[in-house]
Amino acid sequence: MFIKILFLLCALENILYAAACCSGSNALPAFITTDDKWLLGVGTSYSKIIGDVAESGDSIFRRDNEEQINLTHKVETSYMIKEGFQAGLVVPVQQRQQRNSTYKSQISDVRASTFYEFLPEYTYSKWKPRGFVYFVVTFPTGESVYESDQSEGLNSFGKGFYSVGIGNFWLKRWNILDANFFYQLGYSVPRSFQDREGMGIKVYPGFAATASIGSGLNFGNYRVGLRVQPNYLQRKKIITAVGEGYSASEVYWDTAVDFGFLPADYLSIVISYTDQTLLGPARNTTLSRTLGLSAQYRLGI
Amino acid sequence: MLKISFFFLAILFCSGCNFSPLLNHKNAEDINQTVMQSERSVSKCKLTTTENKCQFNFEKEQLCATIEWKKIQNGDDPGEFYIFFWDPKAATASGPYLAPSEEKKVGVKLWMASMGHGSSPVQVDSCLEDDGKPAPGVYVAKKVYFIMNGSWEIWLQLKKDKIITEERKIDFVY
Repeated sequence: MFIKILFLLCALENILYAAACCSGSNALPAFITTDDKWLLGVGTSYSKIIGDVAESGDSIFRRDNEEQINLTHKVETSYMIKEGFQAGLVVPVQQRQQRNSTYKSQISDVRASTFYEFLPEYTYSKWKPRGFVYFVVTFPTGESVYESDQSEGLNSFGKGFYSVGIGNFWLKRWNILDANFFYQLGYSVPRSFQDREGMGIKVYPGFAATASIGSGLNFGNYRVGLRVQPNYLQRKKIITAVGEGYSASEVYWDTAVDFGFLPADYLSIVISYTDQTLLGPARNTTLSRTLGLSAQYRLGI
Repeated sequence: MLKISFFFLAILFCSGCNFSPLLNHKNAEDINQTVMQSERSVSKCKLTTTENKCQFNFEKEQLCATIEWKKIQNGDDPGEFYIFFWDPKAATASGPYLAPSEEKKVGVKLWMASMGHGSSPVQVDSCLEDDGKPAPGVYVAKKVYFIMNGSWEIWLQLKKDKIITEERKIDFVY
């Protein structure tokens, strides 16, 4: 029973989030919380950008024909290298559509991660949680908004920057209840771009931070959970041929409801709904609603 | 521990709801109505307004420029606007219009400063009169797409051999 709950929790934490402007993800990468050796997952999410928030915090919901749809499919894996230490990879492919145009598809930003369980739970404790520390690297394999040359920026599938993140994940279970918490600090490396007209631009994206708190109820092979995740991105410094300037910082909140179940001991399926319009404050971002479906298969003990 | 987690979740929800975009938003449908009213039936290659407004002051080139929307981006339709250049010492916004010096090309860039990114390229062509000849100093900016709602900058650029020699901007809320 305990293993089942852990397996469900493990699957819940890496649902694809719809990120703010211009694709990418702040989701926690896939990782193993059970005694398994290998975890293999696939997922798909349907996300609709329904609004924008100005620098002032004023929200404007888009007209129906201006809403943008992002479909993201991903394959992910995590491998337990030795007890407590694991490595993982997430490869997403994104499809975007707006205003009845045809879908554009491309690989999005690939992420590699390592997790170390620094606080394992060998015997049950009423108060002591399990603790993980992790390191994640994002590769700008998806074309960014700075390179986009199509109307509506439909061919921007990634953030466009190499970035590193370090985080801490905590997990605790009491009978049918569980709680989890993580935070992550990230830094994106400056990068130069050239648009279609050959104009150069250098962007310094700087730091980002996110945190998530969640809780769930477990009934046999089923789990229902709720999560809240605020996200912050530092203002960007931008240098062009004619001078330098700064963007505004970006804030948005993900609120998610998850429903997970185990059709078999080795398989977990999770359906999730993430909404960025419910909680605030939000600033200088897009707002989306996302429906996600993911499956994880675990191998070997 | 359980009580504490629920306590924190409850606090997050209560404080977060106060700033909820869902509860505190406007609809683009309503806002853009006022913008759409500025859409005029523009005569071809002619400025309809009589206001002598130098929106873009190109000091080096000693030219003024102004834009007039032919249509604002709406649904599947991209926006389009006319660009008029004139010499402020010898003319007004009503004309006669004057093209930038021969080897200079006119470009338009859309930039969202608060997000730190632009949009797709805007196509700039000479405005053709009824007889098919280009009207001097008048251009049409086509495929004007704003990828999200918010405050944008419309940059008007003069380029020589793909290098910007001078550029000016105006603010625009989409």
